[in-house]
Amino acid sequence: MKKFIQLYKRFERFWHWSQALLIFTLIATGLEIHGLFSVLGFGKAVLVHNVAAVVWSFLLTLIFTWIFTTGEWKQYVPSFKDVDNVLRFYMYGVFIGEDHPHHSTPENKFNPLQRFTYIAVIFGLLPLQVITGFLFLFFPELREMGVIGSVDLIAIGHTFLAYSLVAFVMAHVYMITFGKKLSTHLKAMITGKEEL
Amino acid sequence: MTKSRVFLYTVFLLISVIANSVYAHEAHKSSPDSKSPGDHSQKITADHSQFESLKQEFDYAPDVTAECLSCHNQAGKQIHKTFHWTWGKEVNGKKVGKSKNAMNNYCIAGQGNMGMCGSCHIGYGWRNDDFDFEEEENIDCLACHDTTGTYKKFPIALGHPVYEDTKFGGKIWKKVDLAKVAQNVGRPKRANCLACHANGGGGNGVKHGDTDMSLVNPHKELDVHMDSKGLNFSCQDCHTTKEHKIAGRYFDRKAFYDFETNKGRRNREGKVVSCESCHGERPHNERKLDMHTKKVACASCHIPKMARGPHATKLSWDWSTAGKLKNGKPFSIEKDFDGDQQHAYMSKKGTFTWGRNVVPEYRWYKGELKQLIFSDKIDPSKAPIDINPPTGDYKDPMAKIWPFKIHRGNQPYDTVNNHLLPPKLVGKKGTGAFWSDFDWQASLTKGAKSNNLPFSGKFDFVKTNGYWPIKHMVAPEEMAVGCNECHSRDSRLKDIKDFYLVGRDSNFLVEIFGLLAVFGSLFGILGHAGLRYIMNRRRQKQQLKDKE
Repeated sequence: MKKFIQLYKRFERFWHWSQALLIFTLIATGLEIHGLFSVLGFGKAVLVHNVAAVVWSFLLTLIFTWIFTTGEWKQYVPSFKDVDNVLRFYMYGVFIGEDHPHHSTPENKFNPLQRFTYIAVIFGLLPLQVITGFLFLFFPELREMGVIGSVDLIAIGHTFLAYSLVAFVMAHVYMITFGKKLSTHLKAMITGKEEL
Repeated sequence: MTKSRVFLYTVFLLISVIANSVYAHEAHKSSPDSKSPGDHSQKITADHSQFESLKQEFDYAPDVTAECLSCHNQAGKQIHKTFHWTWGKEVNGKKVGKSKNAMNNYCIAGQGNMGMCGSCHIGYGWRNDDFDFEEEENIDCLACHDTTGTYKKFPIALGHPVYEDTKFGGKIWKKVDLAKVAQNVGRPKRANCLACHANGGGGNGVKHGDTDMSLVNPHKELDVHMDSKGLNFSCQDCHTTKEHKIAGRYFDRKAFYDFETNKGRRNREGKVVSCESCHGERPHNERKLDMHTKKVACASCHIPKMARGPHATKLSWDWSTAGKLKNGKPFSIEKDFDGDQQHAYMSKKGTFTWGRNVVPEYRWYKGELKQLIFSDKIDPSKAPIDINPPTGDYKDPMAKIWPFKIHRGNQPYDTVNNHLLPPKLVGKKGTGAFWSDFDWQASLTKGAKSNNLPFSGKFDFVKTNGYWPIKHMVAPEEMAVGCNECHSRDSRLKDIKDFYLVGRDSNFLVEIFGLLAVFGSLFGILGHAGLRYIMNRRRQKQQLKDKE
């Protein structure tokens, strides 16, 4: 009989997937606003982008509240334990059929590489993207108030962070294939349970 | 559970309050005494057809003026102060206007060519410097006040109409019935203004790009305000008047800036009326549009194209090819330009291009154009020379982005003294007039003389830009320029580079980083996954072999 552990809580899965949906929407409309292609048209793309952004900032507030009130923040504390083994696995072990050196438990879900990446992304990249986004959104008012003279640094910063986020999402999506089976991590993120 | 719900509601409430205060805009106030601008019921207290003094056989237009002045005894003094009369105003201690010093890149100079240019002057007899600007009877009241449509200033009669049936340009010009015209005077109609203002530069629609004779009776799509079946604005509804002074840009005054918006036109008689005067600065009731109005003029979006009527406007004029003759005679070539048949070449004038429904070019503009004058030095190596460039930039709170027709010229200049040269165009054979003699040397010598300019005798042609702000022919709302027209890589605003425009601009290094990040990740993933796949297959084969 298969044995499972409950790895991801219901709210955790909710925020993960709704955030995924929002980020995909934001990236797609963002790239359109940036002038790289035209699907919705600039006006509609801006509208969708702004609505998604406001929803996302609410969600992020909830996520941070949840992370800090439930003690989940401990999961993101950087750790060098086993980092060499994990690196070795991705660069070598996976090719010769070794098992992943890190085994997730509800108390220690992330391997050390994940800890480093997630602390940078969740506590660095995402809030910065929200902040630059709001400065961008309210730039006309801020200019009138004499706070900022021009939007270029904000726009360029927001674009830089967006490209970084795209790269993260690509790697993140690839990383789900490193479970016991290709679908193991995906299933865990949907059902919350991972097969032991 | 309840706690988190309360928290959620609080967050929502807070955000909506903030959002509301940001999105809120001033109410669209309308002044209590503002009448509908389209209401042209005039409070007329005199019927001119009943005046005995106007029931006479006039055979000379200035005699009508004398009769006008006998009652309207301040009108002459008022007119004499206006730029419609002086054709020039002081700028930096120099008189600048069609009468002196200023030029464009159409027929270039008025002075020296008054025989024809003078036909648009609101006076009679302006041929040369001897014209008496103090004489009130030299004023042409009828050009503006005729309501019959039968009073026409003849092109080569120094501002007079024709007093006998006259053949000109293949058409018969009918003798004017001055008594009938005099008995039917009234407030100027669109046709009065447009007779001159739509035909500047030598023909209908040639000059401005937004002003042609189709505005006499326009439909809604052409001009939402002047629509003769709708709002039916007159010219004076925006160009308000006081004591014969008509509001509008001139060399010594700005066009439009309105510091007290939302007041309607009643409070501004004789002063400028801009779009904002009536519509306010936040007229859209939608933040994403209203936030543009600090930097983008209404015209930039609401006049989507130039020359939207049936008539093409001239886009370029190359004088350097003028003067070619066939069998000793001048000739012209016609071509179709966007559905309008126009001259592509004339021996008298050179080579032209024209256009209808043309996308304008965009520049910062503060309602003033910096007019070059003939005595100004030019640097021909910096061609095209800006003849009357608009001013302003992103940081200037008075400047907004405006649409322009930029008329490309190629016109004569003195290669030794480095200034532009006025040609003499109009005159009889042997006078040096280019349109009769086709001799540049003679024409420029004469032209320089009548403009009191030195001329070394050596000349060449230099490319020039003439700037014409586009502000007429405002289209209905639904025809406004869409977001993508500017917020895209292929932006209408490609010439205005002093600010970051979303959708148009990007930072080169960040874009390179983006490419590396995205494609680096992609190839990294594909490489890693490929290797995993190959190694996995090899292991499976090995296992199979081992089993065997």
